Amino acid sequence: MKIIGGAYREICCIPEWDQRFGSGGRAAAALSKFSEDVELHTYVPLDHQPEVAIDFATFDFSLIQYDTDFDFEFSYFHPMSRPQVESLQFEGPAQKGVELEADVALRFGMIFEREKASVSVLAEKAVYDPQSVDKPILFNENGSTANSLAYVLNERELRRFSEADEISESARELMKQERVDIVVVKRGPKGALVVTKEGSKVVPAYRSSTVFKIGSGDVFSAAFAYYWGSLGKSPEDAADAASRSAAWYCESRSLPLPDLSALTSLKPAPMGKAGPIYIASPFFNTSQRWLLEETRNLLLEFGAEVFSPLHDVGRGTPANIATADLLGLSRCAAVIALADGTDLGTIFEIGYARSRDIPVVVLSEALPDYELTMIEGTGCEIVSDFSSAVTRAYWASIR
Amino acid sequence: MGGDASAPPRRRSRKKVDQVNLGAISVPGIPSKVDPCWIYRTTTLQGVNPAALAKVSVGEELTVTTIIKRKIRSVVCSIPETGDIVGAITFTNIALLIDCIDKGSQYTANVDSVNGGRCDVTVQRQRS
Repeated sequence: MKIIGGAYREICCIPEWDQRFGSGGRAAAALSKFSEDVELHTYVPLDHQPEVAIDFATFDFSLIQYDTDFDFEFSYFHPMSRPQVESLQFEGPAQKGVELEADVALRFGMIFEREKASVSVLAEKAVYDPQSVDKPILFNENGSTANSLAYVLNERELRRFSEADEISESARELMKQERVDIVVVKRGPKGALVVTKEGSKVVPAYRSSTVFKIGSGDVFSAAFAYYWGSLGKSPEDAADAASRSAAWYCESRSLPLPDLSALTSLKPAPMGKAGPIYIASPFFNTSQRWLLEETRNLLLEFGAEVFSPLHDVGRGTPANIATADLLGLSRCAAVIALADGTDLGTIFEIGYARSRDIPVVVLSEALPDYELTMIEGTGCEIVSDFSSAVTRAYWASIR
Repeated sequence: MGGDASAPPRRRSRKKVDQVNLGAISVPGIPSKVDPCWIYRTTTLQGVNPAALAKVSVGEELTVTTIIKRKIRSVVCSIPETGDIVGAITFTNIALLIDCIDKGSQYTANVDSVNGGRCDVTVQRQRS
C-alpha cells in the first residue's frame, strides 16, 4: 500500500506527548506489521530528512521523502483541544509535484495543498481522508484518480463539501460531486456512518478506558484502507475493524496495530441519544473556571445536552442555588465531576447523584487514593485524564 | 472511537531559528552551558512487544539501548535480566539521545504505568 500524507511533529501538554507522526507517518506506522509493502510518501525539508528517518526507524515501512521548504508542528493543550499549527519556513527547494501508481493508496490531504504542488495517485483502489476542516479539496483536484474510491472524513469536513441536513444526504451529494463509491463519516464517540450506493449503516465506536484522540482519525483511515483496500472486506466490515483499531490506539497510544483477532473483545460504546449531563465543578478561580468551560464546550460539541449550575442557574442565595442545582441534577442522565481540589459542593453533588443511581464519572488527576474511598466505593468511574473523562461521561449518559 | 472530529486548527508561522536543545528544555537561539545529555522525558513506548510487556511491572527500571533496524539506529527499552525488548522510544529529537548514548551516557526507563498494550516510561540519565 502506498500512503501519502504528512509526517510532522505533534506536541501535547496533558498528557505529555512529543512525537513525529503526522497523518501519513501514523498511518504507515499503524499498518507496518500487516504488510511488507507499506510505503510512506511525504514531504520533509532536506535538513530534517535524516532525523525523520530515525524517528520512523522503529516501524517496518519504506519511507520516501520529497524535498520541501516548510515543515509543521501541531501543538495541543489536551488531546481534544484545537491544535495550534506552526509552519516553519526553510531554505531549500520548493516542493514539486509527484505522480504515483498504486494498487491500493491511502491519501491524506495536506496543508497548503491548494497552493503547493502535491502527490497525485493513479490507483486501483484509493482511500482519501481530506484532513482539512477549513478548505478540503476533492480527491481528483490534484489529478488523482482511482477505479474505486472511498472518502473517510469527519462530519465537519463533509459539511464543507455538502450542506444537506442529514449526514447520509450530505454523503450522497459528495458521491455525486466526484465518482465516489463509499463515504465513511467518522463521528468520534458516536462511531461512524458508512454510506454506499446500496445504503447506509452505523458502525459503533468501541470503548476504551482512556481516550487519546490525537491521531485516532488517522488510525481509523489507515485501518479502513487496509481492511477494505488490501483485504477486500466489505465497507461496513472494514469500518467496524477501523473503529476497533481506533479504540485500541486511543487506549494504547501505541503502534503498530495488532491483528483484528486481538480486538474482538472490545465492547461497543452505547449508541443512542445522550441524556443531559450535569457538570459538578467548582468555578472560583481561573483554572477551575477554564476547566468547567472546556468540559461544557466539548460535551456540547458531542451534541450532548449539558446542565452546568453556573451557566444554567447562575448565582444567588444558598437556599435558591441548592434547590435549583439539585433539581437540575435529578433530571440528568449522568454527572461529570471535576474533583481535583475536593470542593465541598462537588463532593456533595457526587453523593447526591449516586444516591439517585445516576452514573458519575469523576475526573481526578491528582487526588490521593484515600480521598477517593467513598467515590470508588459507590461505583463512580474514576478517570485520570481530561479527554477520557469527557468521553466516558458522554457514553455514561446514553441509556 | 470513530476517529477525528476536531475543530479547525489555529495557525501561525515562524521562521526556523537555530535551536539549542537542552534535553528536557529546548530554548530557541539561546546558547547553553547545560549538559545536552541531561535528558528527562516521559513517553509512551511504541512497537510494544506484548509478551515482554506482560513481564513488566510499574516502578521497574528498563535498560535503554540502541539497535539497528533497516540500517538506521533506533532506541529500545529492554528488561535488564532477560534482554527482552519491551518497546521503542520515538520521542522527537531521538537523534540527540542516540548521540548521547554513543558518547557514553547511560539511561534507564522507569515504568510509570502499564495499561493494556500501553507502557508509559520516564527516560533519565543514570547517575555516574
